[in-house]
Amino acid sequence: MNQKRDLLEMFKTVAARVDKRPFPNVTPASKISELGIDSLSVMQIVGELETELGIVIPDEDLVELTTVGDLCKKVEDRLAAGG
Amino acid sequence: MPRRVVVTGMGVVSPVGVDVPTFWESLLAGRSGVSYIREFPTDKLRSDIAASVSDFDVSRYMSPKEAEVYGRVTHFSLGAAVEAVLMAGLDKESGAARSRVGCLMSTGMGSVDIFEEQIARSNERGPRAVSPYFVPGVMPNGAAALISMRYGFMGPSYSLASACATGTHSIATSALLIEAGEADVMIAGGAEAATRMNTVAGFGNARALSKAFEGDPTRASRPFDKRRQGFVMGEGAGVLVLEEEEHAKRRGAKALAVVGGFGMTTDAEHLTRPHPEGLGLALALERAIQRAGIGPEAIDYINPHATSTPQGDLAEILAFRRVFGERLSQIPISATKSMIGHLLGGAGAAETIAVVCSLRDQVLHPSINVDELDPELGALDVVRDRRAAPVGWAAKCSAGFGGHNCALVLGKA
Repeated sequence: MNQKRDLLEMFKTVAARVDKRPFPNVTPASKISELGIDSLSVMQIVGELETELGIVIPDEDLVELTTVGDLCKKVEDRLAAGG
Repeated sequence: MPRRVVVTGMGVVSPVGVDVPTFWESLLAGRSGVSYIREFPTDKLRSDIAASVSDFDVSRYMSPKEAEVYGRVTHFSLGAAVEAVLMAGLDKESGAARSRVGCLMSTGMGSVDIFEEQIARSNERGPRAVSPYFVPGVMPNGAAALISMRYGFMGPSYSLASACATGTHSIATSALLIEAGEADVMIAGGAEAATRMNTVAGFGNARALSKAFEGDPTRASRPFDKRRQGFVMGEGAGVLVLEEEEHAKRRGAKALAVVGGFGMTTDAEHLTRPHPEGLGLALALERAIQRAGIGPEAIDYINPHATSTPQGDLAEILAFRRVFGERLSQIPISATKSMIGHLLGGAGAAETIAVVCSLRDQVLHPSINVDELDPELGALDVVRDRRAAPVGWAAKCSAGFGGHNCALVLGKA
């Protein structure tokens, strides 16, 4: 299983925990704004990913994110950069 | 001629019932809601008892996500508000009518549970682990916002805080807003869910709390008894729907009681100790009676603050004697706290609901655990057993840390 797939699954797990409902149909192309997740919950999901993976995603990078794939890519970049 | 305010709805979450009929039935039966604390270890605390709410199902009122964001105090607030709104029939009103409904839903201490959890999270995992919902989750006005959103109430909404007088101040201030024409209807209440390790430690270290009395928690809350030791922490919420009388008539809502008057004063004397002669509370009560357009001789029943601390009870009785003179010994008094403990910010609101029930049913609930009335308090008619009594006007008094006093005078509808 490649890392991209892992991060997508991780996103779905964290989103389900934060929003108290499953996200079975999320794909990398899914737009974050269309997932029905409140903006504060999106921040909570990002925060949980950061804490679990020991990375920091700069705020200015967050505004560029449109899709779940964008977020996974950003997380991957930060992991590659060593946090 | 000021606009007259009536009560058209009530809702309660309490240690002796999570709806008004159960709450009132328990009070009339003299049932105590006090037991040993099971939620956290108490071996290092000065008190190990509380009056907890055991049968509240938050999933009836909000989604799992909302339930996690908001503290227990907000859960209780919404639960009590839903019952009150349904009783008043406000859910059936049009959107236009709802624009003149406000909500003053308050708490003395706020979401202590969320504070404890998020601070622990920050300490363990760093500030980045703190929930983005921390701030909206703990803000004391969260419940007022949630209730307003739930029903589309667009009148004034906020929360106020006056420690243990909070619930009573919410009712008095709501009546004032209606009198002043700022709203036609107000959802007015107070709530608390602060029985957490640190608050029990704080009140305990202040030597304000009672312990299990002779090994029995149900006997520990004993206002006006000679062997009282302090209060028992309680949790819950009380909500009343207050409404301008003509407005209630127009929409066919039944008036349960009249809010005759209210008085709000401050001891301006000490942060936590009541004025030793009850001066501030007496002034509040006098003001409430005057505002109701009656005299002290018209008061048929008193529901006191009744902290059950040695100083607090004595100061309160001195305040009553200042207002009623020797006639005090003939006015029935019963303390709701003897059964539900001290709901802090929720106390005044839940106790006012008991008063409205007395006015509606013409019956007084007992004050339990008065084995021997403290002789220092002088002659008093403390109701020991459920009693049928004609009640035209009743007084409800509250006093809080900070020296805040609030008194209400409520009348039969």
